[in-house]
Amino acid sequence: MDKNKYILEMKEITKEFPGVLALDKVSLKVREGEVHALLGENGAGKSTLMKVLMSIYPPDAGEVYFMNEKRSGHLSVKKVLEDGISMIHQELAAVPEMTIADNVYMNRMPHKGVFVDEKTMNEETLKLFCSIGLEIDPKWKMKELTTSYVQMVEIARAVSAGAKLIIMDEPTSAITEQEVDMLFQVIRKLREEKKSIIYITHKMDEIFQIADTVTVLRDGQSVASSIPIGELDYQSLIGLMVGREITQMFPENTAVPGEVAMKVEHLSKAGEFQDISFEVRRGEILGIAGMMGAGRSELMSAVFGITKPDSGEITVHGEKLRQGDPRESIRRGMAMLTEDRKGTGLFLGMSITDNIVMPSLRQVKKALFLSRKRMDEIADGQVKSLLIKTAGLGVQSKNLSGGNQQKVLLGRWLCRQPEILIVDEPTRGIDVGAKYEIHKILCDLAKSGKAVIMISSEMPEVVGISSRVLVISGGRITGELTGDEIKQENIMEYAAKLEKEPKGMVKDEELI
Amino acid sequence: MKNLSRGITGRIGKFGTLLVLLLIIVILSIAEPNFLSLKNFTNIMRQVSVTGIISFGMTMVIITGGIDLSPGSTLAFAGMVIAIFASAGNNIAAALSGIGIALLCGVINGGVIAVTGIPPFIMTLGMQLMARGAANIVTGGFPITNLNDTFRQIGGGSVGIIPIPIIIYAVLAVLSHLILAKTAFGKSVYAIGGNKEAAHLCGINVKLITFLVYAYMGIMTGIAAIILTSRVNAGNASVGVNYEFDAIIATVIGGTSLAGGIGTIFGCIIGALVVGCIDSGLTMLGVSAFYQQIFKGALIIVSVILDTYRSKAVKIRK
Repeated sequence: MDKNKYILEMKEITKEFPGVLALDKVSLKVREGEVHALLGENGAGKSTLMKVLMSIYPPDAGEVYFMNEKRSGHLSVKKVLEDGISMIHQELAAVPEMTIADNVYMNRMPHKGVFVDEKTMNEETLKLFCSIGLEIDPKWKMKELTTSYVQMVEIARAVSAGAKLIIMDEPTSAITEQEVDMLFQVIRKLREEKKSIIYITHKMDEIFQIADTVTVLRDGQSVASSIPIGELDYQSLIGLMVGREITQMFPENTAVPGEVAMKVEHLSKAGEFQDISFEVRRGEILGIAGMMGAGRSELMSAVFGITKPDSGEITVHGEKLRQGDPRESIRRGMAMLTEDRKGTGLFLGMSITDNIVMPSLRQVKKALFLSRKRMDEIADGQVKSLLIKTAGLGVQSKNLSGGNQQKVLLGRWLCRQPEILIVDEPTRGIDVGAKYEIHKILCDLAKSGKAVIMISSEMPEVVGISSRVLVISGGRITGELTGDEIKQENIMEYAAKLEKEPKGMVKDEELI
Repeated sequence: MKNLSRGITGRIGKFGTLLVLLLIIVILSIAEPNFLSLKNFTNIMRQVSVTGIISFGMTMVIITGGIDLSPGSTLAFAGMVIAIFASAGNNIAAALSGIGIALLCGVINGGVIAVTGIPPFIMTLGMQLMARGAANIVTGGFPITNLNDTFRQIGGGSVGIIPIPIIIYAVLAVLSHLILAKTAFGKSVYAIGGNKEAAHLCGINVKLITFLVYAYMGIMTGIAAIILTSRVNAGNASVGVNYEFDAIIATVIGGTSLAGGIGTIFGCIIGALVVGCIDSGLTMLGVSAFYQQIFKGALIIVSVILDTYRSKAVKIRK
């Protein structure tokens, strides 16, 4: 096939929302059989552009051609899918209680008479999985799969529905490095089969691994259109995205570890983690690395008291901590940012001020009532020191970008000056500029003598700012790295040790 | 984009109900000239006060993401006990026992919901039946009539031209507003409804706050029971049927989201007035009580549909 044939041409798309020019003559051209990375910071217009493509928003100006046909008017979701455009969403849409095959054939199941032809469905699904190199049994229930496999099934579903152009919106935001490799294999298979992929991501490494061409959006304009990946390097790409040179990917962690702030001894919880002992010192960023599902978040939830461990002891500043009660942990100077910002962190409908002062309500009381002035002062202090970009303190937190939301959550705890701060995936889904700022905040905290525990699945981040790294695998600490030992290879090696068999791997006898 | 859509939906949320109220008043005034009089207005307020006071508690309960279906029956139960003491001439005991009984029902609701985590819908539905049964047990179903004259002043008396129930209603409105909008307790109520998990992680005692909210609901119901018992000058085990729905309608029309996390006492007052005006207007226009029931049933559906649209708007803006 002609390598230069464009499957999709979006020409000079302009979309204006009252008061905001979301897209300003943006062009996007995708060839057949290529992986086209669409980059840009949050708010650059990527989602809006994709919504125009999916016919959710009509463009104010500009034209969209798909397979050389002009697309116009508002098209139904069904029509868009039938035409061969499919989007794999960040929040996956699968029915957990139904089988994988059911999910793949949702809405268009093969029938034998009035009944669904399960046999054909399972066979076809299995064939499909084999063709993209996916080894799972279609008869399993969807809920038995990990996030990454659910995602693969969604991709398979798109392919089987005849998708020619697949949009993947941050497909690696919730999966481990190993699973990313698996995803990339699938993507490469799809590319061989002349499918086109628009790949949206914040992760630089991935672009160089998988993308053929790159389009970069910034503030609603295309600052780079369809540039072959070979013509770009790390620096120039980041420069394009943020509009300025970023010389350092990570701030330097110059903090010097001091006395022990918290000591965890023989902590165990059935099915989650076993016999965990470690300590964290003041002035230290303790990185907690490992695969997804290794038990890292579960461990830290137990340390902070969200769940109660079965056995073991936690000592904070030399005194025993009463376990299983976040309020006690907070009183003892601990704070935790969970990995699910929206689910367990923010009060989305409430203002920035309310979000920041919520754990500190006692401190802003004046007699019986809350002091609006004190609340705003505290919030304003955090907004200024953390450089939170917002139109005002009254803005609802759901209207902030991911990076600013994360800063609000940091501010919530920083205003209480915690001695021990636990952060779980602090920069997930956050753009490059804001990532750097959050890393800087963590380093500054360590420097001012606080103890920081950082769970992260992003290797560069762990290597970049940790003073020391614990690697967890299968619910146990399998390695501890300090100084020059903190390297991606070493972490990977320890993370692969003792690994529990992840769900979703197929056992041979079950396949046929 | 965000600013404008937030502006519009925000404004509709905030002032939409007020506009609806004004519209209803205008329409009813045209249809029935007597509608717009001071006398009728105080009448409406007096009628609204009972379910209105319940709706203050309901607003808090619904903001936490819960619901209470028991206040109508609790009101009847408390009313029977109040009537026993009031007919014996002991007004202080009447008032205290009324509040105490209703508080007990609220405490049981809140306690079970907080400790076991069962859905509030189920718990309070159970309480609705239990309290109604208890109300009947008090006298074997017979009403208690002829309470003393001093007691009757609570529901029937006035200070100047302002009826006492309206004064109580206003005081409780201010109190509830202050609690909800200005105290740490109030903020916690919003936080629990907005994101229970996050509230827990912020060190908020979710169980205690949930418990207290249902207890507050009980106190409000107790006070409403005193007013109602005094006004009808009798304890009757069959009063208060469907009062919880009036309170829910008032709350939801007033902009409180059934999904939790959103709502104000101000909105709840407007909502109660909407319900009161419609009730009074339809009666003045000679619409039969049966048709009024149909109308009210439709009203609760419409108000929840409005709520659904509101929360959809919120989701899209996410």
